[in-house]
Amino acid sequence: MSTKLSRRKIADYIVSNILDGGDLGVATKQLAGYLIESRRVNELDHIVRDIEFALSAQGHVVANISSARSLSKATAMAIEDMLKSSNSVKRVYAKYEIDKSLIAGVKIEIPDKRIDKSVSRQLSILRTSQTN
Amino acid sequence: MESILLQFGSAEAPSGGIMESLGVDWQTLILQIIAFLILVFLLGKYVFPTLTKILDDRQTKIDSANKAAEHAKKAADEAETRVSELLKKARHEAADIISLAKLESDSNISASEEKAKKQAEQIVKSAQADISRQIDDAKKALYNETLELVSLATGKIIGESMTDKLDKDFIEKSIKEIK
Repeated sequence: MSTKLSRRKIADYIVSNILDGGDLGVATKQLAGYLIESRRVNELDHIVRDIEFALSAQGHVVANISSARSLSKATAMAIEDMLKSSNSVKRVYAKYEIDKSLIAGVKIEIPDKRIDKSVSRQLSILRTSQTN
Repeated sequence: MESILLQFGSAEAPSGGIMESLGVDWQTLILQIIAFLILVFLLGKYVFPTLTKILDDRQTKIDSANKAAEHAKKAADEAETRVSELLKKARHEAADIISLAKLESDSNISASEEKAKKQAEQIVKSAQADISRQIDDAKKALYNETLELVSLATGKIIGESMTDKLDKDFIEKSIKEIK
């Protein structure tokens, strides 16, 4: 019977593996095996979030960047540079996705922050401020 | 008549004296006296005390019966007086109770009327407040729905009129703001 590890320990293990240049595929398989064996598969989302936090603490930020239209390379670079310039970030792992509901603008989610500069958000703020 | 008187007047006196002339025999008389005295003694010794005692007892009984009768009469009179007083007091109390009950009844009726009136006023007030609140809620709901529609319409218009260029400019402006 395997010992139940805390999510933080698992995240630290994976992060050290990634940063030390270990095989990410092997680490991922180990994690999957451990979660299945210890019946903790439902914690996967939390563990991924913890890994992102741990990476962020080491200066490696995983950013989910959403926009209504596909971003040009220049815009994407500008966003990544902006992220690097703040919080002494060494590297940005950007994941881009199209979200038409944003109407226009961009939404950036990093482990400890959420920057929403979309039109839908502006409209939502306007609506909330005016709602009785 | 004259002859009779003469006959007695001429009669000779007996030789034994007047007693003998009267036909009294001394011996017999003495015996009768003795017998009488004995009789008086016996009666005084045995009969009269018994009779006297019986009579005294009877008198005593009669006296005590009289006393008891007087006592009973007195007690009856007192009881009658007490009953009379109690009846008078009871009538007075009954009158007071009736009077008080009437007052209370009047007071209760008045209080009930007042309570009913207050309740009616309260119901009307509550209904008015409820209607007012519902109107306010409806106004708010309408306002919010309008706002929602405006927001949706605005979003749709912006979405339709938004070009890649405009979006790019908007994003770059936002990045500058963040920096």
